[in-house]
Amino acid sequence: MPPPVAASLAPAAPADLDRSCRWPVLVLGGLSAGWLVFAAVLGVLAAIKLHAPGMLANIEWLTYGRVQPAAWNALVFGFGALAGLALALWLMVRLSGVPLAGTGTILFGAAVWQVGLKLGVLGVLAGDSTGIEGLELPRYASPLLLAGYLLIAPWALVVFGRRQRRESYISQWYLVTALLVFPWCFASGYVLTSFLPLRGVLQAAAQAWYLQQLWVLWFGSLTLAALFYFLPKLTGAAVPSRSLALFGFWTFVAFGGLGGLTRYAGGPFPAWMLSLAVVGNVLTLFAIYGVGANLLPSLRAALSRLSGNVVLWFLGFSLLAWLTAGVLTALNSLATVRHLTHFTLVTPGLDQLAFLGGFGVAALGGLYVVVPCLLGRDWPSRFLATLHFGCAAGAVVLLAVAFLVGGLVHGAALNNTDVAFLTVAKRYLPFASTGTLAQLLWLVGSGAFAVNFLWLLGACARTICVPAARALVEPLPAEGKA
Amino acid sequence: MKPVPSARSPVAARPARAAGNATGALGAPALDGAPPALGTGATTPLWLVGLFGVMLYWATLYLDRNGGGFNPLVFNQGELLADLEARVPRSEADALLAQGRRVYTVYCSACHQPNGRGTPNQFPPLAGSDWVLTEGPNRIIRIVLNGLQGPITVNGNQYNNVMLPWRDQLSDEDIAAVVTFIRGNAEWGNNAGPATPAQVKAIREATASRSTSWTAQELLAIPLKD
Repeated sequence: MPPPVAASLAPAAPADLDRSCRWPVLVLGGLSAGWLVFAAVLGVLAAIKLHAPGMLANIEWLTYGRVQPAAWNALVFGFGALAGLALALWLMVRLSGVPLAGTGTILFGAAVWQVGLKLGVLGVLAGDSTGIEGLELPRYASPLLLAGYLLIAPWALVVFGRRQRRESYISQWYLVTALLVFPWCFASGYVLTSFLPLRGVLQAAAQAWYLQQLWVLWFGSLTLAALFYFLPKLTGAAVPSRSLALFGFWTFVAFGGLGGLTRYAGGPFPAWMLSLAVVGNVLTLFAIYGVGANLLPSLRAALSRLSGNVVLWFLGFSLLAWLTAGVLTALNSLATVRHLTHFTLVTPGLDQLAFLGGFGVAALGGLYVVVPCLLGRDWPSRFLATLHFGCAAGAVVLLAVAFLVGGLVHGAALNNTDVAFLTVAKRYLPFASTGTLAQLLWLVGSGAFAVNFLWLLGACARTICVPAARALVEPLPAEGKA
Repeated sequence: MKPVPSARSPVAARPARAAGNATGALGAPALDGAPPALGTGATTPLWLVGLFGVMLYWATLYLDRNGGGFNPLVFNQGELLADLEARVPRSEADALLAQGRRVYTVYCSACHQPNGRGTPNQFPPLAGSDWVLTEGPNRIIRIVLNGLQGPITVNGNQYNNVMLPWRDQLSDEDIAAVVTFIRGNAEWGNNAGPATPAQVKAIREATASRSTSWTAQELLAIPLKD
């Protein structure tokens, strides 16, 4: 699709671009930071209940069945989607060299999304959850999220359509994929389970498909868009091969979304669904190779400069987490491994590694770059950012290791008919409590990020407000003389 | 995959400049407006394309073997609809037939042969046999329960041998199944009606006191049908 504009048209200056998208990106990023902390608090509560079910058990609103989905939705649709949209808008504007249009509509869309998600999370806490994992938002909330999204995302595509550079960059391919995938999978997921529910096992098949699109094609694409922009920009190393990137992109799009049903391997589903999922997961390894071969060299080139650059830690960690999660997912779809791991902690462990470790850490790293550009003022505290990285990376590693090892122990015990079920459950406890420790670490890191963000906003507000206030109080020098 | 710094791509010169820029509080360099440098010199390696082809081929094989022909009724990987239909009986009579085939293979086929034709002059045939294709299964159930001894004429041929009793080894359902299988076996050309576990149970109770095998003479006195 050749752009309609001549290549000679100059892209706008970065400062102008940043000015055009300042409010939408800041509002979306700020809201996402708020949800991040809120979700982390609920996440800690939910994690504790897995090994100490008596805690707060008498408060109806805080029972596990409500707190866990509330935490999940706050994290995924509050932090994840809003941070992803903020980065998508900024990256698209930067890479296309065109100022953002429709800022008013975007801000309205953010408000609609925010109201919808608040209603939804409160609804889940009040007991209105649909009870379907990943699709818990009640019927009065989910359409609002879709409406909010449709007010925000098209403007990024408009910017892409008007781009001032003839050749599109890798991040733009992934962004367009992500922006088009979300409304499709979100709407189908909710329609097929809440509004016109499918019957029987098909409902679970639709849910598994939806989760796969959400994790891989939506958050995966956003992760890769961020990594392909920030890693080479921050390290200064070139991405070696455009053709390999194209190969990786198309294998990712073609096979990435097929692997959903390995989540329910062993369940009552038609054989072709599972077989297609296995094939999809294995062939996605080509996409993972393409990403690794293109991005690991830039990380290696920057090894000597790594110690000074906190943002690069975030992005490098995210790349490694994303690659590891992809390889393990492909391994996990093989029949011999699946036999041991299915219906154990391994499934949530891989989800968390890809979402928190891959997407979450990349999005936070991106916000650390973008927010100072927009405000024209740097982060007030390097210490808080370092603390955030330490906590976030520690949390992801701890969570992934605990859940993967725990899952294997859990699976081996489940497959052994000599072990009583209560014994299996008891073996699971130490891993669940390690999960709580990881969630606490994540909460501390998120708190550090939020404090740093508020501090930065406060400093900006001061530089604007203090002179204005002073001008109000002090009489004008000209008046005094007259 | 090695990055190939190509003289054609202008990107190789850029890194030093980006890295040398002033850095912010977090140590990140300030970003300019250009998109990241992208090398166009390196091509996708041939081995990767080759491996991709091999894996695509593997994928089609895997789907062919495990996809159940994309049939929504096939739930087990590795099965096709035909395997499914052979394994899962459609009705109660089909279920008895399937069970009867198993019983026959274990207990009967050694003498009467898997094709039901017996062994000339030693073991009489079941396929097309006038003793099997009777109006009711009264006599053949008795033979399976208590065995048979002495001379017998089957389809005009004389046999003189011993058949073992299966009263203690086989349940009512097993006997009903194997009799149904033998009488109704279309592969052998048989098409007589089934036997039920209730019929077997009644005969088993009626002949409970009998400890010897049947003779052909005694059996001919038993009515074909109740």
